Amino acid sequence: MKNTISKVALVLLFSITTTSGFAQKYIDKTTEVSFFSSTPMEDIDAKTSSAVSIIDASTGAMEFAVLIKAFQFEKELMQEHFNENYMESEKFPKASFKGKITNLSDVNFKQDGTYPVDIAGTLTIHGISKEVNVKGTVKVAGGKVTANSDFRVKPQDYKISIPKVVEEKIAEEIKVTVSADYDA
Amino acid sequence: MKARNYIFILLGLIVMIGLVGIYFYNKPASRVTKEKPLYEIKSEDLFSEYTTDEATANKKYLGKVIEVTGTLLNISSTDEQNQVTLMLKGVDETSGISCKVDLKSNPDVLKLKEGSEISIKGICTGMLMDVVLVNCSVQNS
Repeated sequence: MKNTISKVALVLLFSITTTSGFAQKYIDKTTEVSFFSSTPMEDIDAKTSSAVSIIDASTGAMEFAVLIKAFQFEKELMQEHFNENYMESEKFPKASFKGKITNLSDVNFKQDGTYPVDIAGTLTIHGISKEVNVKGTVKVAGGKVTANSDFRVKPQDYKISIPKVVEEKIAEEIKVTVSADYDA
Repeated sequence: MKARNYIFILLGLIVMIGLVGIYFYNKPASRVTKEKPLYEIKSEDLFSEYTTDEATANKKYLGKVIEVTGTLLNISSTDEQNQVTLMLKGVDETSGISCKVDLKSNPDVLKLKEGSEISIKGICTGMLMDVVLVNCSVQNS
């Protein structure tokens, strides 16, 4: 009897330690998301530091979500137009991404280094979802994991209609930057 | 009156309208809300409303100024220079109401003690893992 109990205990202990080693989820509730539009007429930029992003180190799954009304602009009128006219944030309060790191084997979350990553997934903005491929960087330094990505978004791809009157002021492609510092 | 006077008055009005337009166009976005809150609610109740039915909670609170009272779990700095995040208790220590506070408008915020009951007024922007309020200010009860 004593023998079986200690064997069972050993198996349990072994499985607990191995699973906790592999099922590593990195979460950041203060992910920064900012976007930048540059035209000869005007530069527009906005940012928020309340986005959430998660990386599952064992599967490479990567997600982030951001609240549209949390974006802060320099000018009040721009913030209003952004929410009311372009993003319709009362109807679509969030933008999100769900995908995975396709070159997961190139990343070692336990070893300090800078790892370029390819991320594929679904980006949902203004209620419209599109398959995207973006490049990013995962950095491990002193055991802390951070991730960054810059990518471009075309407002028209997400049915965001810019009125002709202000067309000159808003770039056809908006640069989006996502930056996360993870607590393991 | 002579026609010339009418023209001067009209020009004056146009200039005034133009100036008002320029004022609003360039008006900087505020980092703290001065409006009166539409709702006053406990942090646990707000969190519970959002976790029960997010769509209904958004219909009620999204974009609105609300005042939330609850236990301060922690104060953390963000990468943004003049901003801190105050976390009010939702259900447990892991998540709750996340309040973004501008330091310039709220210089005393760093004196707040973790574990104390505080009231925060801000604009509700919805929920991700926490309910997020921006343009917050600490209210004296």
